[in-house]
Amino acid sequence: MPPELLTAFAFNLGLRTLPIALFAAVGRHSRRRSYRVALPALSLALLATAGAISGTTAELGATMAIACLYFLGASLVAHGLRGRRVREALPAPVILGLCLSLFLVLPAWVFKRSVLVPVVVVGFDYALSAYSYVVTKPEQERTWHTSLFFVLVDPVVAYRKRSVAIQRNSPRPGLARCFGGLLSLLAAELLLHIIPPTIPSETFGSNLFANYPLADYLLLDYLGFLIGVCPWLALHYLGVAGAASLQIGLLGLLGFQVAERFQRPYLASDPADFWQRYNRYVTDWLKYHVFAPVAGSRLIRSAGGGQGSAWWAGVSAAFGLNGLLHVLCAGLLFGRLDIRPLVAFLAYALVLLAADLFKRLAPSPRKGVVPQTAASLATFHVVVAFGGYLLPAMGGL
Amino acid sequence: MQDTSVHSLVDYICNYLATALELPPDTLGPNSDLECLGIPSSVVMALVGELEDRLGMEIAPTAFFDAQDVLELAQGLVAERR
Repeated sequence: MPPELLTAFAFNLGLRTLPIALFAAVGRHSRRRSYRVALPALSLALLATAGAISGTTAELGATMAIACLYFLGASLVAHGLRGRRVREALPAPVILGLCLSLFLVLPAWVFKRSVLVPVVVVGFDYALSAYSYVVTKPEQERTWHTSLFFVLVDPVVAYRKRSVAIQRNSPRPGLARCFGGLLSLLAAELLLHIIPPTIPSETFGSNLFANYPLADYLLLDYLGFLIGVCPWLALHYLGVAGAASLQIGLLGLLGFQVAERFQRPYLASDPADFWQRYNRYVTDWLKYHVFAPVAGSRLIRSAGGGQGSAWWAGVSAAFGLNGLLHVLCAGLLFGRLDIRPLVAFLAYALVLLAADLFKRLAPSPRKGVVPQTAASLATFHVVVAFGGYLLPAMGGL
Repeated sequence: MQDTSVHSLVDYICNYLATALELPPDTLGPNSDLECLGIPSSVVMALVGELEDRLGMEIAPTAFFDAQDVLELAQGLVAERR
């Protein structure tokens, strides 16, 4: 059993929760004064519970606080980068490179092994948020409060026109959601105990993905593949969805309505629908900052081929960049170049192309051609194959 | 000549999206939140193409992602056309 995985989940929760507690304590946006004390206290209590569930040590807790301070400093640097001069002087890829260096590469180098996974996972989101924050034209005065909010607190990473102002509604019921996030973490721990060690291995004993069946997947038949892969996908899902729930719940208590990050993704009706449901924040970021500019670019349009070709170019660019970002993360985690994430994402883009062609060629709407259950089942297999190929690369196997 | 007023454009976009998303025709209106609808990018691009033909101008797909609802999208497109 890899206990590091639970520590990683708790650390992940901590890195996402502490900025909210800080914002609640010092931000000018807390409606009630009592929130400035109560919400940080609640955040810390939830965090302590998560730490207790996962067996996090005091030393790790201290490291987490230092990591939070680092990211706070980085968000202030992002605040310094914002402005018309930077947007006009530097091309978008250079700004993205700067944000990735600041929020992903540098912290991965500073914070070593025991906390590396959560630092990279959280740094990935922060880097995308920071990029959005720097390149989007502001509609309100930006202060260090806004950089703290939009880079570290608000989990929606696409900082676009509709969300350029900090909009607070009345406090929402979020306590149940917070405990739902903790329950999700608990479920992940229970799952860890029942996942069968399909391929016991001394080699990967210290690895997060010890006993992952795809270490030797050629030996597995179809059923073995499903039995081996699905619990790991569920484990990963419970961990990330739990952190998202806690974040959404805390922000709800603070009075901010945040879009859902996961919406029952494994019930998706087609391969494109999966990305409307799974980690929507990153999907939206890619749509807004990669897909739309590429699909709408004059270069693509002048090449001819109509909207279909433009769509395909945009999708390829978005999935290609996502693959490259995962290559970068895997490289930071395991110190080696592994192109499997890029292959996985480009293969998924090809699946989307095939699905789109199928819809175009089908004589009637998809519901009439393929029963919905069969479509969902086929999509589930596509997603499991994608995850089954991607996870070992992201786990260092 | 096509009617390119905001009102007609709202109706056109709502009908198009309702058909593409297989929703009942009356479920969409000017205040329908585009983000909540979860519109696939392929539908966005197809709609952009239809609107370009209708309005006779190039439309950046970002306009679609920037708009909060159908009404804001239609208003933005009509303003850009002028």
